[in-house]
Amino acid sequence: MLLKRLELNNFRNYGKQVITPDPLFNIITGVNAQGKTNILESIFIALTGRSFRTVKEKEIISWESNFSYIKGLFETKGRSVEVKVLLQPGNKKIEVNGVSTRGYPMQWPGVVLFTPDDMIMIKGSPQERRRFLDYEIGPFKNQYSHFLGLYNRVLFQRNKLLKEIRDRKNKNRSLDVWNEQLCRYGAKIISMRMDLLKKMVPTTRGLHRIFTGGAEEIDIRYISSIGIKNHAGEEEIYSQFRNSLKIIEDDEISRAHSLMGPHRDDLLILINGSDARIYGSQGQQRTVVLTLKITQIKQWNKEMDEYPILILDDVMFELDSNRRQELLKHVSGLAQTFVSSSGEEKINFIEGYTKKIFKVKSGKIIDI
Amino acid sequence: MNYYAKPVARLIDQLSRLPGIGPKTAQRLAFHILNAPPEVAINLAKAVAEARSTVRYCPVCGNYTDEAPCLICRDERRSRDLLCVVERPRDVVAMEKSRSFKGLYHVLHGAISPMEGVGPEHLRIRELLKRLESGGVKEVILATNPNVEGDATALYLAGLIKPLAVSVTRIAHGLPVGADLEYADGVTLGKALEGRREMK
Repeated sequence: MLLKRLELNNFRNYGKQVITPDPLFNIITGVNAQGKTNILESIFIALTGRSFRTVKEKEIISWESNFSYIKGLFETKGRSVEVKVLLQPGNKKIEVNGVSTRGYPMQWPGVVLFTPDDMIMIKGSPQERRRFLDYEIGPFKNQYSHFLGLYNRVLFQRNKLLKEIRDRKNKNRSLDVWNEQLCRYGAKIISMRMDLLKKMVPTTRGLHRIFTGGAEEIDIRYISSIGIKNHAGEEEIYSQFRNSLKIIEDDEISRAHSLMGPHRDDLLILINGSDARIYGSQGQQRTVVLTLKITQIKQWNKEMDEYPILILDDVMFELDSNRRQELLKHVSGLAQTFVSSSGEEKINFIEGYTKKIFKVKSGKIIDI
Repeated sequence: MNYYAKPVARLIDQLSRLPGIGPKTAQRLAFHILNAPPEVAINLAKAVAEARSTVRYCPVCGNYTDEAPCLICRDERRSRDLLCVVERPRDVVAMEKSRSFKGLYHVLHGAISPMEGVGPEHLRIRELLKRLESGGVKEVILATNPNVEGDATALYLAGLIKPLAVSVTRIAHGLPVGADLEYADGVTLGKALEGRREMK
């Protein structure tokens, strides 16, 4: 995936701005609050149709205007694709080569994003790791988001029903039909998640070994609230899920909440056998995230036969020089990369790589 | 709303309560009615009033009708051992337009949805079971919508009907006829693969 041309119109603090990026390396510099991340965000929106900073279109539209658009000219597998994302308050339209579409403009995300917020995936609550599974790993499977949507809908309906049963104290026979669907879709999601991990973890392990000079072994395990062992089949998960629901039914009713299923699951990330969340140092955690990001890039290449665009918002320069070099070695010449940095002096290390540097000042690119 | 005479404002207000009609369309419709010969307005008003006062639910199938039982239920040419269960009267219309179903219908008037406060007791399920118990029906086709709520309703009904020794089937989901495979989305294709059949 290659971004050949980017056009912003009333996007955040930009009026009208056109950028023609380098096919390999692009560095966006400038002091804080000038609009570096805004450029990265616009590329992300053009490829995924959503922002990584907000869900409100209104925030994205510049103050003086009531609409905003992003136009991205991409090259994918030898053909040109123009994506236009039109943003209006509470409304969003995506056009691909002039035809309006839903979902990913390119049929797949085509981008891997790494921001300082990604650290929360290691340090944060299980919810953060589920977000990683659902939005970063899940899209590798075509139908993942569809089944996740169905599961969440069933979950919502079932929780409402549990509350009704509790409040009215009537034994409702229709709980069983929601159990059936919860387990059906839940088993599908769990088995897809485990399948994806099985595919990816060997790559992650190999990369991690390289990044740590062979000193650390990483392992990632799926922790299921149903108590499923890794590598169980979908049918096996389904029947165990159904059996477990029977046991906890009274508890679920009294709490009016579904207590088991993919929405309560977690990932356990181990470094040399101990939990990275609790025992990992800041540096170790950062390496884990970096390893996972590069795994995603490699996995996308396996699935789509094409590299996604890599966006690094303010993280490149937080890495120590060793890891930075490893990262460069693994992506340079493969994935078109966009990096933001607040200091120009820090970018010397990219000597020897072809690159373009964009200097940003209050919503304008003043120097290329 | 001073720029409308009071009766005009009332008309626009009433029209804009209809689904799919916003204030602008309501205004257009109102002016059209006022512009046209008086009979147009009178016929419209008559049709609305008459439909509302004479049409009710068919006591047998639950579809809209002005006579009891409805035309479909009374039609002797239809096979009485085949019963198609749908959510809404408009689903009966869709099935009828297909002209490929020659059995009888049962309209539930909704689907199970706890978030909207709709439980099985709010649907015409008791009537359905009574119909089945009185005998004659050999197969029930569950044609509720292929979404989470429609599936839940179908599952619920299947659980109730099976003990009555009536066969229960669910309509197939998959590719629309006449569509190109290359334009089908992954989910639809997946469903179509799941429901594949052996060539005869």
